[in-house]
Amino acid sequence: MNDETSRNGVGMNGQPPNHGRHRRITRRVAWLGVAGVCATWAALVPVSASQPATAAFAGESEGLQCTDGTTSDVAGVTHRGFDITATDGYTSEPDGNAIYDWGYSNSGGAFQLPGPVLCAQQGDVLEIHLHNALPVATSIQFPGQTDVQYSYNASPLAPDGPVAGAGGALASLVHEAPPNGDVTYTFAAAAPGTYLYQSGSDPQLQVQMGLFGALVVRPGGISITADDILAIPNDGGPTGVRSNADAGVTEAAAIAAAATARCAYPSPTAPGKCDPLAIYDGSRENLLVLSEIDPGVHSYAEQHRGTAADLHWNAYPGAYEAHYFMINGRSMPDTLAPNNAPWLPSQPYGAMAHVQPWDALTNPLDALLRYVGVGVTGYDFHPHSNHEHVIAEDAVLMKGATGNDNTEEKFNIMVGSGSTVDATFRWTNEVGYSDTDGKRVPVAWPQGLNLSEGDFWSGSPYLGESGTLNPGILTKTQCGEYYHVAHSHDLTQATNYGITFGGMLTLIKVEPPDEVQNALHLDCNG
Amino acid sequence: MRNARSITLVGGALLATAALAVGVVAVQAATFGQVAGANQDLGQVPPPVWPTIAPTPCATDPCAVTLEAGQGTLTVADTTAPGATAHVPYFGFDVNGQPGGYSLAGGPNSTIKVPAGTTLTITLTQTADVADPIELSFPSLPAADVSHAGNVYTVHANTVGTSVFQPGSNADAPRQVAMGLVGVLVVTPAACSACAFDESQQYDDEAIVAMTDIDLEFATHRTSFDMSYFGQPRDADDHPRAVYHLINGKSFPDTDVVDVRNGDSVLLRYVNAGVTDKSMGLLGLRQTLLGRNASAYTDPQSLIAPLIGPGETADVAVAIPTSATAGQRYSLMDQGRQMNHGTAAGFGGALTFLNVWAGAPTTPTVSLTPFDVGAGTTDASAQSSAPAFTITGYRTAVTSSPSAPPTDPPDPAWSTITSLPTPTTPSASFTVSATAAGGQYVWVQVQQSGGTWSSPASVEVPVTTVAIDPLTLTGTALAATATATPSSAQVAGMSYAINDATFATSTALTVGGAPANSVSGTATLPDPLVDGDVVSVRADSPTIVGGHSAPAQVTVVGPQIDAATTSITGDTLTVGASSADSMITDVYVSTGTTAMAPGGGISVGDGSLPTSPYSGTVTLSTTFDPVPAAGDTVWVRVKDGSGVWSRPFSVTVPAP
Repeated sequence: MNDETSRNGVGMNGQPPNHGRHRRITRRVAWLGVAGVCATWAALVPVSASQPATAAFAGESEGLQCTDGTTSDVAGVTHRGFDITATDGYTSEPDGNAIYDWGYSNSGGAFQLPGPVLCAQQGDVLEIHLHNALPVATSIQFPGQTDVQYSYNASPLAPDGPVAGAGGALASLVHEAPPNGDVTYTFAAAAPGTYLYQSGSDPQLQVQMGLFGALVVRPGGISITADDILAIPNDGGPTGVRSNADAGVTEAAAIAAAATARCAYPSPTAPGKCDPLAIYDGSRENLLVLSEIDPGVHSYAEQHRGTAADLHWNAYPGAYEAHYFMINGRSMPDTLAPNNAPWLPSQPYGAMAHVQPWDALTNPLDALLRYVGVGVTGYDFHPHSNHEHVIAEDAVLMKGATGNDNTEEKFNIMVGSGSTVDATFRWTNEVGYSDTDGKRVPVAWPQGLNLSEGDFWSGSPYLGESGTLNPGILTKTQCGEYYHVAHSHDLTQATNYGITFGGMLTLIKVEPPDEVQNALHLDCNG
Repeated sequence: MRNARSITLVGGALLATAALAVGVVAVQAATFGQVAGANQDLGQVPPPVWPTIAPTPCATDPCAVTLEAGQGTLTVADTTAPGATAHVPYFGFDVNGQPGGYSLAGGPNSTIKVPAGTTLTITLTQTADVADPIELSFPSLPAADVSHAGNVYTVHANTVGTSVFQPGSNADAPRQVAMGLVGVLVVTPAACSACAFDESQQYDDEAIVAMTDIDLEFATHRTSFDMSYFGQPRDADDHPRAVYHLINGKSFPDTDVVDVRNGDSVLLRYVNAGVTDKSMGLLGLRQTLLGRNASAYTDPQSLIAPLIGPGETADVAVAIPTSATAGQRYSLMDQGRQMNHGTAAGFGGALTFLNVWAGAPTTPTVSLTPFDVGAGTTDASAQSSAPAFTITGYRTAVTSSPSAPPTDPPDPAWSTITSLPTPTTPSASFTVSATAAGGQYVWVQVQQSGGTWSSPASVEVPVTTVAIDPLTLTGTALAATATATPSSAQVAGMSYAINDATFATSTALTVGGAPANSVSGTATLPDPLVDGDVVSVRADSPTIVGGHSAPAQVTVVGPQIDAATTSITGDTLTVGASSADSMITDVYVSTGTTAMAPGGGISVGDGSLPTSPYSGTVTLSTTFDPVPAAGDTVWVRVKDGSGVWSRPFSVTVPAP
């Protein structure tokens, strides 16, 4: 069974699933700009066109949520199986539009967009069984993987590749499962990193319809020690110039951090060790699958879903024009909702990274963000007012064979079509946690009536503090946290059907440290 | 016995047509015409001929190149177009006036490829279609390396890598470029023509993969089109627009595949001559980005789908697994899925494949077959391949045995190495020379960059035999037909000699249609021709051992003097003679101890000539000097109507 999942993020209070939704045809409504109304919108969305609304939500969480598959030992090699069904369903947009989609789902699970995040260990042999519940043939291609093989019904494995259909014309880039049929893809997860998987059949239509997902391969044979934590560069430069140890990270702090540290890429020069720039906080691992939707294409597919002959790209009579731009299958503000938010039953993955300030004694590790580009063009993703440290592109650490550091700080991260980018992120608190810390905000504080206060303002410029808000102002802050916006820097993509702001936009939630929360009796995830 | 003599192979040469071809990138239609049964595997297509990015010939220094800009029309498969085919005007370049006309970027005629350090003198012309005079630009080259006087550009090709040239500062340049007017400049390291940026980056195969976006409405209304819609998928009324995404000037399924072999290292030279980003994915393989915009990276980066912006180039290395099987294909496409309506399955646009052929050799190979021998020309087609990119030279040898190839130098049988003027690509043709005789073996060995030699390949110079039949002589009219064996051999001519089996002095027959396997010739034999003379005829051909065939002979049959009716009585000589043509035109008589030569003596006759059989009398009067006396010898010779003489006949003057 493929119902095993693991969550790396922060657990949240679960809410009961919301079943029995009803579809609404309305295409656009104005974005109300209040996350709380998401439940109202989503309540209008049917769970799936082909599956009963019986999915059980396992609970909310933040951060990357893995589907680990099932494992078996074959002659000393771990074989990891994933059971995927290509099916159809509905997702919701913040403007109330219900979008008919195709997608990969865990077999037996609810329809979802994007497909399950397949997580594996380097060296595993992946066996991905695809059942096709769509009315047209479909498939999975694995960009970046080599020696992918396929089989039908336990037939001998054979190299996968383009397939000719009737008359010899190209039918698919890889071998397909016919409607109600199956195909299995097998390959060794040889190299760690972030990968895309998507349909290789009529990709102009099928990828647009939602047949895509992410694959995360974690490096094998890596252990992270306190010494590794101490050696992490602390100035963006190469190891040894200024390390965590130089920055005041203590042995005790390093030992504590090593327990939650995770490695994205091994060192190119030190076998068995993680590259110092690729060590991150395993509880702060995030995925951002960037994609877009032309609702006209989806509406066409919905209207013709009973006629398989019409379900190919050539049959679509319209002109392509995307109106929704998504992170993990959600548009802002739904991007802010946690994993498995019950009001987004077909869009299980949130896109808001939670971090706490870097601290030498309590939080000496960075967060990791894994970007996956599924667009028809590259996306310029902008961690607004922040730099992220890009450590890998297309699942390769940006260091040469000799370890030359080619990683870079970027405030605009181009995620090309079919490409992936991995970046680490840290946030440092420069002004302390209150105006008594000796780091006062260097401006005179205006009177309240002169302030225009947004939804994510706590009333205080100090992390972990909340202040008085003007009458009538509601806040979404829970614990005096900060929010930094992160979005496509093509601002036409930070919209929902043209309405600003929305679309490919999310926030980075900066929470006060645990000790501050505890001292002030705050609950940032309550 | 074979008489060795010098022969000339193909105008002095053994012609290695179509390829002392080294293994490089070949192109072929990416249509899947053969399907192998239920497993839906794509069928294999005919073997490639391994063309590649041909070096630009540089016969002069600076290297003179002509560059013409002009308009062409391409056809694009489009299921939404009338007849499922769109016809689209475009602008392209033609370097050095090659067959096929104007090419879009990556097409066969729009690339200049030279080694670093070459100075190019480019003479730019343009047809009236292109209108606005072009100011050419080379965006990746330092300004100091490019200058021009009028339409003649001097370019110092010092920047190694892949770059472009295109209209630059002239007013209509944007529209000209939008029409596809972009050429590719490939500069290889000076010391290695099969390397990317330096000698550590050698490759076996290379290919330009140039993407162009062609807007159909713009292309057909170039001057009036609102450029704000260029390349857009829809118009102001949200109607779909036709924008075609091409690789090397073609749209799938018409794109050319990149032929490679398992184990090969491949250099792909990406060029984005379009208007949108291209993420070029190669499904099933990794790509190592060696450099961008003709600038090498210190640490090449392995990528899945390198992003190439408009106007950019990117050079990537790809390793074809040794485990790849023949016929295996790797999809090469824009991951942005800008693929048009090319086929019913939804595939079109910027999509092609790396197509695997088996058996990458570790050393170059060469084979010569067939060997076609004729008079004055000898042809051999050679097929060659090599894991490295170029064939840099060759050598030849001649032996008498097929089982004893010359060993590696210093075996003196080998000629010295002949370097090719420019490193030769698999698609190029060049000629080699050898001297050999019929029955001997010509050996050819090619050398690839890096110094590795192929195994020698040989062909036997065939032994030619010639039959001269029929051979006829009617009077002085000689006619002969010579036919050579084998049928591939040719006869260049024929000659004859009279009473001279050694042909010390010979005369050519007049031959029509030579050289040919069978030729006919005629000759009028000269006067005097005497009964009993032997005429020898032989055929001439450089491919015959010794140059000539064995002779065929015919004996001259002339008039006969009748001994029974020829006599002297007193001073009266009675002559009787006959001839095959029933004519005796002349009778000559002389006295003396030796016979007169034909035409010598005194012409006599009784007034009844010409006739045959002839019978007449001659009075041996004082006309003769000396006057015949008893016991003297009188010589008689007659000539027939065809001009052939009899042999001399003698009678003795009887005693009175």
